[in-house]
Amino acid sequence: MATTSPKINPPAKIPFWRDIRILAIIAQSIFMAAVLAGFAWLISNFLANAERQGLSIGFDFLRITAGFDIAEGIDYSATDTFGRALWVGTINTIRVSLLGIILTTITGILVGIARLSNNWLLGLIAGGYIEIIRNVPLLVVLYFIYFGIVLQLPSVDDSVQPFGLPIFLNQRGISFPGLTATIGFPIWLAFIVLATIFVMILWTIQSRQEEQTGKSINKGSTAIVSFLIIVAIGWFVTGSFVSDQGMMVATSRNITEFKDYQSIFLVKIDTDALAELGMSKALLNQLDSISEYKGVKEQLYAEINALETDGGDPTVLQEQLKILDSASLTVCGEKDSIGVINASSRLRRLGINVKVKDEKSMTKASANYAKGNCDLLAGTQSQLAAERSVFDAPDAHTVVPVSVTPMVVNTPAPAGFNIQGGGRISPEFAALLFGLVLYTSTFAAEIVRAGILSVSKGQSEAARALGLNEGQRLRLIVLPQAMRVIIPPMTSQYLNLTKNSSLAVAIAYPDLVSVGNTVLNNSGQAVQVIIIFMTTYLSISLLISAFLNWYNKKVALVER
Amino acid sequence: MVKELGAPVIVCEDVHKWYGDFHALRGVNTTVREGEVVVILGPSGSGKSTWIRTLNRLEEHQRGRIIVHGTELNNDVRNIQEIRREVGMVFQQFNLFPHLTVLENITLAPIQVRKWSRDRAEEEGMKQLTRVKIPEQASKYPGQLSGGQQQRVAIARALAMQPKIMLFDEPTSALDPEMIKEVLDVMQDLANDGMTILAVTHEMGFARNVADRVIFFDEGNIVEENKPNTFFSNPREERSKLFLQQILHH
Ligand SMILES: Nc1ncnc2c1ncn2[C@@H]1O[C@H](COP(=O)(O)OP(=O)(O)OP(=O)(O)O)[C@@H](O)[C@H]1O
Ligand SMILES: [Mg+2]
Repeated sequence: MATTSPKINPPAKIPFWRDIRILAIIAQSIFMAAVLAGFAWLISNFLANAERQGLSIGFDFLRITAGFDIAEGIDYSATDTFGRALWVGTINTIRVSLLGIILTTITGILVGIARLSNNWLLGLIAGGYIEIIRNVPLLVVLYFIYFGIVLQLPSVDDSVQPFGLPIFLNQRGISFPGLTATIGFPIWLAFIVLATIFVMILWTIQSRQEEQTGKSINKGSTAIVSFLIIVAIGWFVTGSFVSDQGMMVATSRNITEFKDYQSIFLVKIDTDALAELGMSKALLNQLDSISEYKGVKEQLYAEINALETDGGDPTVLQEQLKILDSASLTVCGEKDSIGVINASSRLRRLGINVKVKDEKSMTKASANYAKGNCDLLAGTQSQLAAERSVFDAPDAHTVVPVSVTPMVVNTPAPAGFNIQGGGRISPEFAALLFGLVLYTSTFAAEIVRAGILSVSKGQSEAARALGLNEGQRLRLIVLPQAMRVIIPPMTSQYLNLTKNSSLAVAIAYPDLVSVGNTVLNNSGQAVQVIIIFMTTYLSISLLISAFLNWYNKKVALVER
Repeated sequence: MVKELGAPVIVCEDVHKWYGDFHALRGVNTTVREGEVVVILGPSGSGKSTWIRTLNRLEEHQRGRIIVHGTELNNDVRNIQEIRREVGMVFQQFNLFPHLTVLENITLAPIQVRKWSRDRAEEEGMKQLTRVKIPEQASKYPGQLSGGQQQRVAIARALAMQPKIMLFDEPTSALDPEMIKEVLDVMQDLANDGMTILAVTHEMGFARNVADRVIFFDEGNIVEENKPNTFFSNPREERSKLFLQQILHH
């Protein structure tokens, strides 16, 4: 072959001013130099001005005590530093942005698919929502939600409780049942990790089996069931083996185990009064266990109902019922402590009426118990032992261990002028999050719709012709291709949402900018604070883009 | 070369289809037998694609009956899926999945729909790729292949489901002349192997040499059905003559 190919002269040396590679490097260098010179000029200008006006240009002010309060966020008090205050603001920004991004993605996908749906009404609603919201400035949306909706909620006294659930809506925000981790939680978490690993291994083994044998195994349900079993075992094992919780009770009560507590409760039923009211011996004899106690109550209810329909007089029976209902155990303990939450909820589960007497501190609760105002004192075993040792007669009391579940439910309840316990979302956070999600979702929905539409109809037809069902068609053919169109513009929307969260300042949610403004005013360090703003937002944005670029490469590079 | 034809595998009785007000299919009646090769001809817009696409429910017919391989095409999803498993289809625009490799394109449906093991699906996939003469392209992406190669992959993809019937809708119309032959050769091999084929095509050579029957469509209905030789040399209907004159003038 070599003999037939035309003879090529050895390449002549290209003069450097015509060499495309060298020209590119020169162009780059000139541009770089111009940019650097510009920056240098700006900085030297700033330094000169700052010096002339006697401004400090370091970041030492971050160590000065802030002296102002922040309404919500991680641990912080007015005696903390400016630096800590800015950190609290940053975390608040990240919190609202991250949650916002997740909710926007979900809403955006749903609304985008809804707008494409064959259902005329659904499409109309999705279209209307998009057209209305995205044509209103975000600030107006936020004002409307905050002043028009959230602040119009009733005062604490008149809290709205939707469907009678333990959820309270009022001007101070939304209170809802929260979960409080106990000492057993880390161990339970280990079980969850273990279960996840196990399920992943199982999945791989089964997939391999499936491929080899060609028989499809129900991997999904096997995985879910085995995961739940391991996690449930963890829940109970952790609950009974590690517990620092206990309850103190008078030794005379003969209590050695948690379930014995029902006997104290049964003693508190005023059987004499019941006998006086004419309750039969047979019924009275039944009041020796919790289940029968409940049975007796049900029987009374039934008899009262029967009497009422027959026109008889149920007063006596109602009196009896009142006496049964009034029997209760009083638990003392430190307010909102795991001991109180756990003990009261477990006793209630046994079917025992419980009254809780909260105190600010263990010492006060203990004093209350010593005075005989409560049947039980709840707390950690070490706390209880310490309290007991200072009693006049320590031997008259015993500490009985109480097992805890890895997490206990913490239900909010009205108390005085506030709602106590449970988790709480502030009105400002709720308004900002809702506003950001409502607004950004409209753009996300359009992006999702465009992504799905960008996949040609032929792809769907080929999938159908091959016998794939609609779910497989969406999952295996349409979405993977739509993803490549969706991700880049979606990234910008995520960045927009993050940056737009700085509008928090308008409704007084203490995000980075909001807190930063206060820091700026109190410290006078304008330039430094603004540099902190910029670097923080830049870092968050770069992190988000880096993650999505990585993901985009993963789905995009497969084509060629 | 007289071919023994088997039992009827596609039966159309008075099939009608409307796009809104437009009456696209106007009472199509015909029967295709096992092993038969049918070429569908007709002017543009006459309803050839529409009809062939009703046979696997890419288009819904609104009146009449279509029975494919003993199963009636109705609104029962099970029937539709069953028929789609037995009927392969090849499109003018190939419609390969660009995000999957050639072999993944081919094994996708056998694994997902037929629930075959990956090994078995890949073995079958390679067999089909060899049949269309491009086994060496297995690990490439569709975008890296020529049009003719892509269309052959599309054929292999349909064949991997081991269909009883193959539908072709202008499989060579998007191809350069030198690639057309590659695809037609594959189709001819299929016909020789006894596959039941329905093909919309303007390749008169294929119609003349391979087809057992020509169906001529016009204005949403079958105007003439005939043996290829008779159809080309001595068409029965005026409209067929007109059509043949027009295409043969080119
Ligand atoms: N989705 C649709 N909506 C409305 N009308 C349609 C649709 N698809 C096809 N038609 C109409 O139905 C008629 C038949 O179309 P079809 O695609 O079946 O023709 P064809 O015979 O395949 O033509 P060609 O040779 O150009 O492919 C045409 O008049 C076309 O305009
Ligand atoms: Mg057509």
